[in-house]
Amino acid sequence: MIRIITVAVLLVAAVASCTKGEDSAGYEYTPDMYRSPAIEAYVDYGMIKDYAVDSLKELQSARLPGHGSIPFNSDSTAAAINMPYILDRPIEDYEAADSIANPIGPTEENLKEGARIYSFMCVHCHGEKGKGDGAVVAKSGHAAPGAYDGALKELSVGKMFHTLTHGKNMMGSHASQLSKKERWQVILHVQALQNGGVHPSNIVEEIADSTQSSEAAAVSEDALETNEGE
Amino acid sequence: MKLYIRKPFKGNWVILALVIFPLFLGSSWSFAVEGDAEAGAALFKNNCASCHHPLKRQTGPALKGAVQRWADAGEAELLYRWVKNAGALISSGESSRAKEMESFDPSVMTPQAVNDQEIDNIFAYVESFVEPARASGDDGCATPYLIKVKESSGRWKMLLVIAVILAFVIFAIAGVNRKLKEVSDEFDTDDDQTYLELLKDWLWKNKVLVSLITIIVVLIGLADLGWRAGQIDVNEGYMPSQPVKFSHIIHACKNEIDCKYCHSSVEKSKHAGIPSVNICMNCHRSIQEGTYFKGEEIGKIHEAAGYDPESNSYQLDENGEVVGHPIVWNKVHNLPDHVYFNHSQHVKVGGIDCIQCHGDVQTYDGGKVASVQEINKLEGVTKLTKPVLTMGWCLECHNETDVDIEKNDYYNEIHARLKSNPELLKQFKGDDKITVRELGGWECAKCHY
Repeated sequence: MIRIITVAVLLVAAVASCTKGEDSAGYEYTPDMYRSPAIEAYVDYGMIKDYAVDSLKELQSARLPGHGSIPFNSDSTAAAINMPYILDRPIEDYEAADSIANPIGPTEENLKEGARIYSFMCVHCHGEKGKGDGAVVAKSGHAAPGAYDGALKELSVGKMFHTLTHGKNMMGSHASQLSKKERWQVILHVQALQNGGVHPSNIVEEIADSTQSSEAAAVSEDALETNEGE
Repeated sequence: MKLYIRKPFKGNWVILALVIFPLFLGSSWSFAVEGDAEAGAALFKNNCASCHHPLKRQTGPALKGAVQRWADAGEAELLYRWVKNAGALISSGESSRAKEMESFDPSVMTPQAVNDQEIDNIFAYVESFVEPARASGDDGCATPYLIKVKESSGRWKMLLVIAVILAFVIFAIAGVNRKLKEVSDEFDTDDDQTYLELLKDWLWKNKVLVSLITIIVVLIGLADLGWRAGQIDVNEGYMPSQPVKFSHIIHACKNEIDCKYCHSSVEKSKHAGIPSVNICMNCHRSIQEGTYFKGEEIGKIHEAAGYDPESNSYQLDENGEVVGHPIVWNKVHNLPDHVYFNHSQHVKVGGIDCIQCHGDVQTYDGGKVASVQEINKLEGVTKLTKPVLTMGWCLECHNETDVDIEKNDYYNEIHARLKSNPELLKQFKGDDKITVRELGGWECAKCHY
């Protein structure tokens, strides 16, 4: 009987040890295909082939681009946007950033893209209308950013870019999440929020449109008549 | 590392105040400041809240007790000048506290356009400030970190079931043993028959029952083997533990942070991107205490970032580099090396919503491979049948997904080619839709190369 009990206890232990570990994904066919020697992001390269590489162990496998390198672009204006940002001291250069101008124009496409980027990159802190009342502020007590139509109404685009690039006060740098072009696009939308939702350039255009519209209408009527005449 | 050091006796003052004031003022204590706290609340929100918190160290110091601190230094009146123009007060050299503050942070407080009365109101609000209770769980979000508890209890139940089955087996074996003994007694052996021979005899006697049991056992074994073979590389429900108790429920559901904020390379790269620690720090410099684990889990982020919450600064080594290390998260979704998958192609070009493949991520904590059944329950997804992350699942979706090549700029060239060739268009548009499969989504080399 003792022998039977011993066997039973061993069996229990064996079966219990067969339950898979908490962090195991389950059965794998060709495991080497899942941890391949080819370099992939987010894989621990402490082990390459059969030898351990201590210097790579548990280090970041998503790596930073080489210092000073910029993305290739055959279009020179597009490439110029990606040139290194010269004001590289976060606090000391803040005032100097005032003089930086937006290299991209407030075209419809850029404004639309800016609004789209704002909707997922900024809205949870700055709020939908830029009043500094996003969910992270309202629900989790993050320091409230200034309102774009209030404390930050006069903020220049250069300072915005400097802040997005280096961070300021409680806001961190967003340079790793947004390319330089995207930063400028979202700044266009912030400018719109400073002016009640319409980009300043569009306000000017609208006024111009209203003065010209009567003339334009007259011209088009003439054109219509000539067309009909033909 | 910069540290903000108070004069030693002031610490004692605060402790003394903490002990004595309640005695005088009953349940609540506050430093009496003349002013209208209600008017101060609005002023504080508009002018101060982006850098100051009454109780917490943010960009600037915690403001509760600031009036007392300036009064202690004998500079109560200079506080007004400090608020209006801190830089001027520092350069005037009149204030010892201003000098002290200069070493607090390299960025000097912005001059504020407020008058003395408004400053009184602000400080009245600050002194009367009480931390509001966090919103309770009625925001429609799940409760974080309860799922794990359930899972582990389920595992204990499973072990219990195994134990019960084994108990049965033990009794059965014991029964067989007894039977064998009886049989051996019946045969009344002269001890020349070994146990093995006795067993053989018994098996022969009960051959129908024995063969029936054998067949059943073999069939169950084969079925189990087949089932296990079907589970190879099927990772549905896989949810490994993580080094930090991060919760998607808190981040994506409660705080309404978009997936793309942290997984920011999803539109640009093959990888959606696991956020590096600096992205965590975009919020967690200000939010230093969580709802469920207080500072414990967020502290792990601070440690990884080399950030010191006390002094609101990063620890630098001799080269001026931040002393930090990456957080090593456990990988959840893993495709084998012989499959090419690209997030930007699906999310940016195809406009596929994250939930189509990842399920309702905002309802669970860490990363999890959602099962196809739970994804099918969601609204606005293509209903599929094969397990998530298997090839059948990919092909199924490629076969069913309709590509709108007219409106999607990515397909301009194909669209132009089809328009110029009506016969080809008819061949493609015969069933009134163009699927990913028809555009080559079933070609082997599309994903395997």
